[in-house]
Amino acid sequence: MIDARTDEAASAAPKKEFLSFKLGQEEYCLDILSVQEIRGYDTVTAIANTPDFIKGVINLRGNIVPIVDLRIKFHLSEARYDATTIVIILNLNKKMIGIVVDSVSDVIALPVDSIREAPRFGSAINTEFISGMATMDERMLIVVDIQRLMSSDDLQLIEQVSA
Amino acid sequence: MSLDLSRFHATFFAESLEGLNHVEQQLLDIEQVGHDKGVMDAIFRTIHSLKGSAGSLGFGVIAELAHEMESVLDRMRQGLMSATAELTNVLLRGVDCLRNWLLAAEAKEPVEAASGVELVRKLQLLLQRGGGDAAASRAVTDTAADGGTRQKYVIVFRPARDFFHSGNDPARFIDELAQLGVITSTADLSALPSLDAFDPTTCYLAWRIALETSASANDIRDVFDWVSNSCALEIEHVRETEVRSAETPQEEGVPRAEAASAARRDANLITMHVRTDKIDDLVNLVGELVITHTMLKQSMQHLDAIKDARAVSVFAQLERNVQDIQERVLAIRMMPVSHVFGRFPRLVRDLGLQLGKAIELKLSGEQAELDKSVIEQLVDPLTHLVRNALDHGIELPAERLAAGKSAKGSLSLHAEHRGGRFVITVSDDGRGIDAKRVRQRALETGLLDAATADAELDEAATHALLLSPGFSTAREVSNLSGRGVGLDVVSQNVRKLGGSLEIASRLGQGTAFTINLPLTLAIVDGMIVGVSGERYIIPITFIRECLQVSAVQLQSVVGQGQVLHLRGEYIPVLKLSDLCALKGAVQSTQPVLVVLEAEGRAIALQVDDLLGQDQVVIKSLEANYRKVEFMAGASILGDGRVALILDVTEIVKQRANIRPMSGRMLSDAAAAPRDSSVVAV
Repeated sequence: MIDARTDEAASAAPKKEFLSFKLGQEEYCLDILSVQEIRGYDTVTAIANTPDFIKGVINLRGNIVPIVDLRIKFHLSEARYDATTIVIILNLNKKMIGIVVDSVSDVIALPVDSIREAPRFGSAINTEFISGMATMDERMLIVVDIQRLMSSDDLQLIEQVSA
Repeated sequence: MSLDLSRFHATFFAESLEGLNHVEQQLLDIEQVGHDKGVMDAIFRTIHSLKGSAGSLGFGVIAELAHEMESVLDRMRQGLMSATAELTNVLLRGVDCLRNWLLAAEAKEPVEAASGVELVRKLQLLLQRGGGDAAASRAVTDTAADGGTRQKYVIVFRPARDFFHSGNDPARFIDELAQLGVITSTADLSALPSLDAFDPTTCYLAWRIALETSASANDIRDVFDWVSNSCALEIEHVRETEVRSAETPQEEGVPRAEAASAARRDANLITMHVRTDKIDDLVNLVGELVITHTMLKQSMQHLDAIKDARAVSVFAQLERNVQDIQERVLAIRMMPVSHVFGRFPRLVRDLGLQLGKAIELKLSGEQAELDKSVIEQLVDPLTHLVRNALDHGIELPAERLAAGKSAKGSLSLHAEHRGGRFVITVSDDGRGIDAKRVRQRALETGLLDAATADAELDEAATHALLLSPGFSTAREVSNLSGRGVGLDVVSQNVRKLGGSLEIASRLGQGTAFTINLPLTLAIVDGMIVGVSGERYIIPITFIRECLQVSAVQLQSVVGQGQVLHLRGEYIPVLKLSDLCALKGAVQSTQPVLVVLEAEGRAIALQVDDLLGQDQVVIKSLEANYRKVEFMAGASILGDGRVALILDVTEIVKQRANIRPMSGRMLSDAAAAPRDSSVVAV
């Protein structure tokens, strides 16, 4: 999927759009095409026996959507819930998932070749889920492979072995 | 011949297919009850008129087979031939074949004539012999299969204009066809533009390929499978004499398309075919409407009945309309269960013959209606239960006679609505479930250890074993049932539908499987309960009663929590806040016990409050998330927030068998507990 777009981009403008967001002190970005919408944090319905970073589910126009607080997941900042708390609703393979982040910065177009391989360590998110690093106006951005992160085992968003 | 016959097609297909269903049923009847002049005449008439209509509407192949069947039926009608099993088999296969052809013709697909050739020969042979020697007919069939298999097809392959864009090469597919047999290919250049308008990346060509092959139309279709979305493909089976006319297709092309649309117009008047997903969308939207309505209702609660009389009465009107719409829309998806039952007479007959068992099938309640999605998912479990009953349940005639039963086994399928649920029973009068064999088998497969097996297993525990994965008591693995994927799969499938499977059996007298299902998967009547500030929904069908905790007697059992003593029955008490691991539980001053019952077991669920009763739309948690323990799904309440729906069956299963229920500790009680089973899971 990413390859196909990269090829396309190479023939036209070699840029890809990302949504950047903050978790603690670090600035991350994810493929804008997997973002469905950005909304404020609303009351969630808790689900029993789930890890604390799974806040519960919300009603998004008739769909039941799980909410994951990445701040808690990565032990980054104090997880406060107020009028400015932001939820990014992702649409991954037709599954909707909401992630809670500290703030959303902006949409940026990154030249594809400016994304470098990620160093082995140095960010809160496991390098397994990081597809690269990029710099933009002196800011360092960590490009998250959100698809991979959301389908990873430790998030428990997807049933592991279904009967 | 300018008469447009195609407007008769829709009626012809509908009537013929219905007729064939009757014929199938009647043939089975004849076989059961013996020769009956009236029934025989009816079968003859149906096939005769099918032959007539098919012939006049230009379905030569269909008419030909119908003709052969008619000849045989005519002799049977006159009593010159009797309905032997062999004869009935051939006729039934004829019915199948006619039905397939009709369906293919209705879908404007090429009719696959090859399958009929053998049948026609067989019928002719039977006719010559007046029924009898099976070996001879087999010999003829074999030679027919060897000699008459090379068929001619005309394939029109019209790649889409952007065919090259996907990296495909038409020549490759023609090459592949050539491997199936002898091909003659002509290219259709008519779409080629003048040179200045020519775009080299566009495919302007089409091909007409005559193929002589022993492969079937499906094999040909497989060649093009890869590009089926980017080309138009017509495959026509050509009989020798028709080759010439098929080679001049341009003249026929246009009127045929018109004819098709005319046929469709005609069919529209009677019924309308609607894609299922459109109906599903509608059902979803109605779900949303119900939620919005509930929200509105809540925000209108403060209205004054006198001051806002108009608003209140208009709202009442809206409420009725919403309810009506909901009912009607859900009714669209309701189908009589006969859609599933209808397949069993044939299945039972064929299996019975194969197994050498005589079986009488009784169907009742087939008109009861059930949601289409549920019906579709019932086919497999029911088929399995029926096969299971025939294979394991009903004994061979000799064994039955020895046991003092009639030689003919009886299998009945019954459907009915029972208290907002749909109940289907599959029962036989066979040998029943032998608990000893079940236990032995469980030991062999390691489902049970020796110590447990020594203890007396009660009925419920034995049946629980039957439903365990990997369990099958069939002595030999047959192709009917007993591949180890047995009742556990049935039970799982039923549970997926929100239902349950119960077994009742008496050794030597028979077995009954009861499937208990919700009417629809879309909406449920729910009781909304509050606990620790959260709200949950309990499907009303599982609620037996609600009690104030202060008004009843709770007894503590050492180390096991509380039990409710209710009219001589001991019911374990479970706090919903514990089940859902809710923190900061605010103890309600007046907690309520909701007594739930599922699968014959009861549990009392302690909640803080009863908040009301409502029809709620079931939403899947799995759509975006995953299955949540003890929850059947979620719904959206009037205020737009999500509430989870409790999976009562699962809760009862997991929690109702905690030790206080085992009876022995409380055996001094006047009445024994209703449930004393130790469920082996």
